[in-house]
Amino acid sequence: MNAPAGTGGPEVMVKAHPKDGFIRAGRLPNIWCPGCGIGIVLGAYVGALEKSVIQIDKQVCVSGIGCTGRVSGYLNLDSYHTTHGRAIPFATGLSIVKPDLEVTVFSGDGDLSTIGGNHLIHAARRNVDINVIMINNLNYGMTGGQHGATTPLGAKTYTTPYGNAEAPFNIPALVSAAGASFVARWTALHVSQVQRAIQRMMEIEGFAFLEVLSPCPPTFGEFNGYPEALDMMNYFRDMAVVDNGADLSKIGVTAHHEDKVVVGNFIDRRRPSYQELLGKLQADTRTLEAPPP
Amino acid sequence: MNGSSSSVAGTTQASVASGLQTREPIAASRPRRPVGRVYIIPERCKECKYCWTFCPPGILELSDEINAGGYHHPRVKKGRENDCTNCGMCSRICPEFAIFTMPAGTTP
Amino acid sequence: MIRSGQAMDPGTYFMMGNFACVEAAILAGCRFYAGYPITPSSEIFERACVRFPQVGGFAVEIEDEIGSVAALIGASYAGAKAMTATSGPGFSLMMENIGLAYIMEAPIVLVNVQRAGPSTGIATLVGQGDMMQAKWGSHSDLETIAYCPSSVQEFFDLTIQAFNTAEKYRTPVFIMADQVVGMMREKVRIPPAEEVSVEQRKTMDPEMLKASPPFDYLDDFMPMPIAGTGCHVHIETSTHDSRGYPSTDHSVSESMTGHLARKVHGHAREIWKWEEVMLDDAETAVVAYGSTARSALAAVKKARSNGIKAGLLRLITAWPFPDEVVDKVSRKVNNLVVAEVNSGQMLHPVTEFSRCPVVGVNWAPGTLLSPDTIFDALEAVTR
Repeated sequence: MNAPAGTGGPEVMVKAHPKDGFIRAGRLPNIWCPGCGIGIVLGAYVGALEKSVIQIDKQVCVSGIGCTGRVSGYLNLDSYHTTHGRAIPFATGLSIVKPDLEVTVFSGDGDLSTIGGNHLIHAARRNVDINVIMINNLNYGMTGGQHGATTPLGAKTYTTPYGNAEAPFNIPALVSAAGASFVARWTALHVSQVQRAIQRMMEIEGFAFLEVLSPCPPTFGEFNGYPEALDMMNYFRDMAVVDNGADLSKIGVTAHHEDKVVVGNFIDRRRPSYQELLGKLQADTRTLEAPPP
Repeated sequence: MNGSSSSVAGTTQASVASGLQTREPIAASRPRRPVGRVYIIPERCKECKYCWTFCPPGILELSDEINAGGYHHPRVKKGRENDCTNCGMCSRICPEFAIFTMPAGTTP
Repeated sequence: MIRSGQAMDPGTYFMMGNFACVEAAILAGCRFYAGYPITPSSEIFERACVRFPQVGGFAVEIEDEIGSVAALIGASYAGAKAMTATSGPGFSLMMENIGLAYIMEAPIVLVNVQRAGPSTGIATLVGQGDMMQAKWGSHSDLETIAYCPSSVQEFFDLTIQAFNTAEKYRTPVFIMADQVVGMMREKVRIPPAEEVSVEQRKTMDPEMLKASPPFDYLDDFMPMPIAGTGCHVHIETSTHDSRGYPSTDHSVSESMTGHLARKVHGHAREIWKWEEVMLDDAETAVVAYGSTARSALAAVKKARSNGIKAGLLRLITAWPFPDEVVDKVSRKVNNLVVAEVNSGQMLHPVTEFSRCPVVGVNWAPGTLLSPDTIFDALEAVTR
């Protein structure tokens, strides 16, 4: 490589970022807490948008309610901020009518797997051709730190002051069992893998799901031994194990300092998508004969 | 190039003796690597500490200046200005679109 | 891809109300149905599943009514005319996302084939107990539009009207049918497509955004940014400012809620539909809607033959409530009798806007109100 010899230099203060075209930069700084992983995953999504061969006008983001749900408002796309738990059926309607859109649901663990759990499993069952990025901060963050379907057993939150008496969902196992074509889990620290997973999701036809674990310092973190955002990122660095072939039934998240966190691209398989099946059904039934009333 | 191992450029006696065919870079005495320049948008920073914690060569530190949010943005450590390798880790790990690097050539 | 296709051949048919609704929807250009089966509306869903794919559309089942309305709004933003049908219990589930359609200004049509309630009630028998819910069921203030068909032909005609109203006003529109009108079979004329006037929503061109923000509300009828057309507009469930971003400012709340209300309320006179029968010389009148209006008409005719100068004011739009119409009629007659199969719902706005005394003829859900019951009330108020 014959690149010219160069020298570095001190930091340069500027006013704009090369990726500002993909975001609504006038709204920055964003509302998330210092160290929140949502902004990192937003950056990875933007990186995937940049790398994707799909035209930006065809990229659509649908989000629900919660901290992660705010991502759609920061993206310079056709974006939709919808009601709590209902981003997935909204995205389904959008995507059936215009299958050439690349629809990505981008929302939190409470929104997608607690109140939205029913829609999550049915979309996976149908293999709806959408991407779903679920940021899992192990609680309902936006509303101040209540427990949800992914809060680990024993964890303290404002609604589990004596420790959570509920066992959480093992999300990759759930979504895979429901029939998803692509299932992956990474953490906010594994940024490059997150971006590559999103890129892969945009390529495939079928229900593509990514869970990204994130710090949530003022609520979950504060009560469960990760008071600084960096504490949880260090936990990810020290205890994450990459195992693409993991037995999904064994990869629950406890968030205990001594317990491993299994991450990886677990499932990447193919079967006809909902849109493909609906399209074929429509093509097969095009007759001009209406049945008798 | 004939197959005689001792005449292949850059092959050491030691590597041949151990049975491994390895190669040494021709210019091993003067390695070159990419150099990067760090760009910061100070008003976006929230002092999460990720960029300087996770910078692989560790060239970033907290500055003394604060922005309108009361946060200290990062700066490049004095004397480490040529040590940025343009790996992009700070850029990727920043949740705020507040830091990025650009290529600035390679080391001489 | 949604393509236009074939409606039924024009002609006169003997058809179930629920089926007529689907044929009308096809003529109006509807090509997306998302729903959940519920008696007595399931025939609409079933017929849509047969007919929509035939005409290049889609009819899909969503796992509940909550998701169904979410899917309709998504489909609407992808450019499709979208509908669903339900009854009481499903209508209740839909309420949150009806608010979403309202705040997102999404044209969708929602048919409620009302049945006996409360709760599961009597799934197979008539009720009219969801009328107030059509206006107040979703939280906060919504200006809703609701049509009440009294016959199969009217169910057909009002379905086309509902789609046109939804497209023009960019708002969810209800058809408050009931089990009787939905399941009865009557003569219905299906016109040729050329005879049917069909409205299309105003859509946004990305060029427009160079001159003005997407939600400046300079017009009551704002253009709709359709997904995939390059608009990059952010569509919000939260109260939002002229750029579409969430805001907690009171001035933003005033501006946004004001626009949404004014859009409908300010054009109420263009939306109102009603029928006056024998009101010119009436001394008393029945106010009724839906299948009850049929009993009311029979009661009015019996009253006339018994020397009572009775008339009928039939509400075809329940919402926005035709207050000026009721006011005008109330000045002519000595009293009004509001007949409905519930414990008194439209009775309240009628009373609010009447100059004369108003009584209700109310009936527990489960059967039609009989003409004799309404006649007895007319006799009682005239005595």
